[in-house]
Amino acid sequence: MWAYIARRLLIFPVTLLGLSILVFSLSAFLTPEERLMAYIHSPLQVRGPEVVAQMLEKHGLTDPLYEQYWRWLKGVLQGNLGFSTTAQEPVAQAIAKRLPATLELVLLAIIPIILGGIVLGVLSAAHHNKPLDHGMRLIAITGWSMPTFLLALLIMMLFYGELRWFLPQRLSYWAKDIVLSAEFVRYTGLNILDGMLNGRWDIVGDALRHIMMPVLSLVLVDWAALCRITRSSMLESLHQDYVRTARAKGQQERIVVFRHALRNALLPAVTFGGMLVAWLLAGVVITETIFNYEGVGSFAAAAAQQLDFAGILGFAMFFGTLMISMNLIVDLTYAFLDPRVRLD
Amino acid sequence: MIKTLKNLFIKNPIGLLSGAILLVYTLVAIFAPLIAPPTPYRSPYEIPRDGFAIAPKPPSAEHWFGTTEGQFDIFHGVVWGTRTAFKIAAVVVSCGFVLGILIGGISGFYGGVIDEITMRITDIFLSFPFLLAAMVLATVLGKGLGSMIIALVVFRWMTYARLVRAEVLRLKQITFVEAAHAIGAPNWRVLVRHILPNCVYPAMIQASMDIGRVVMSASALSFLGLGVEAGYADWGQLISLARNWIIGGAQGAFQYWYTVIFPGGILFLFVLSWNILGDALRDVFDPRMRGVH
Repeated sequence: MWAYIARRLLIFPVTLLGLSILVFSLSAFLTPEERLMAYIHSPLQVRGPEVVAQMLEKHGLTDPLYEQYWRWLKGVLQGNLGFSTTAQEPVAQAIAKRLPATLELVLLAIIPIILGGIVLGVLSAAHHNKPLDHGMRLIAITGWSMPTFLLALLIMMLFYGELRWFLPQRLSYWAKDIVLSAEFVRYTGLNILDGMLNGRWDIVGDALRHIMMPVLSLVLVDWAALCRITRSSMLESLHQDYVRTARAKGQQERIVVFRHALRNALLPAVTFGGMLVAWLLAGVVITETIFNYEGVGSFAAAAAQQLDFAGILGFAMFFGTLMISMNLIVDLTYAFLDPRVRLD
Repeated sequence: MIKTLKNLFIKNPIGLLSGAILLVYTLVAIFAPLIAPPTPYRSPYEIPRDGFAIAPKPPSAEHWFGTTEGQFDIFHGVVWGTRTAFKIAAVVVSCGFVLGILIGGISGFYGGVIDEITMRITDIFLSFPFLLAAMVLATVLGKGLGSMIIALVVFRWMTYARLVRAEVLRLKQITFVEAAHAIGAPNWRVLVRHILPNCVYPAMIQASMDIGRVVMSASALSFLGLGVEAGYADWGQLISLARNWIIGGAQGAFQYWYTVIFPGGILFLFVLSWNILGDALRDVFDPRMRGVH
């Protein structure tokens, strides 16, 4: 097992290096002037074409690409991802500021997705080819085929337009004033948690009313995907010999399903963890944009729409690193849980 | 073959229904010029406008599905958008398929250092969520159908490559491949004539399951304004034109329902039908699932 872990840990920096090459080569599609934006910290720096030519020279944007790559990489390692014209601040700062909002959204969505997806996937597999299974499959494939942006619009139409139960954005104006005031302490940046810690239940309620619509659209789509995967993994493990043995010795069906089959079916569930984070990240870009929820996702979409190249490439670098680290953690957890991997 | 087709459709009425629905979509795409005749001297993909008034107008005899914000005819957009969807799906999935078979085939067949390098590169490409990766690349390449398709292809080959590689590794051990080596067939011939043809089935099932996903992602890009040009017939673009009207107006929340229900429903049904068909194909062809179902 240690050889496997050592190999994975050794490959990790190589993969990150590869990611940086991929992101940099994306920027090679841009003209030198477009790439200059990554180095500008304030729009006031640019005064006329001579200054631009001078800056191109200064930052060596006319140099060979490998020299430029090396310089860019050194900057990234120091946390310098360039200046975002959308957010009017450095990219790293813009992401850091919006991260708590996205984290809050993802944390609230992930619990019902995992619980609902796994429980219903197991139920569906346990009642294989019975009406319950057919019904669940149909619902799951319907959810899985629903584009997030379409679902989000329909949710907006019903819950905001018609019923007025939930609201877009992150907080109402009155609540925003309180949250930004001096007596409200920002412990975490997560509105709901901070509201509880400050004892302001009105803030908690307002934050919940605003976050429900994006959470609902993430949950309904990703729940279905997880349910499908759990079901097929569970079906595979229910057809293993050891499960047949358990049944043959007269074990109760409930124990066979939950103790014998589910344990092994959940091993791949660790892998789903990594996939789930990937789906949620893609999901937040759409949902945050539609509900005007100020997080990292809506920042990325705005950066892309306004051709803010530094913003979008910085975002790609940041989330690529996050995903690769996530995959590493998943692989390592897997090695601890599954004896078969250790033998590799 | 006949037995598999029987398994696929007769025993699976929902699979049959989805096949029939996709047939209708195909017919609409083929006969688009008859169903929604284009304006003379204009590209048929350009959605005709009836004036420039801002608010959408409800379905009428003239505009069967109503008009969007800026008076684009929804019916025309939906009909020609079917062609756009098929075009995107066909190009993206077939390019991803071919790239994946080449990369996965070579990686699995030669093994060793080549395998290690290609698989690490595949990992890096997989480290982005598909939609985000395509979004970043589409931004850099600029607006338009072409750059959107390129952006989708660049991040759509990895699943095929992994699938084909695993299959090649399995086939390499099997007697008929060893026999081909033994009688002195050159490496490339063993790969092209004996191994790759046997890897095509799993990759094809994957392709059928990918079509819905690709069209969904392309629509999401167009919805975000990173896909096709303004006014181009595309379902995602039509839905994005509904965004400002989604909470309705003086006559209630559902006043502008037609702006989202027609393009949205047609996109959803397309994706759903492909996913059901892909599932049905997998159930019939995938040997691992054969005992299970």
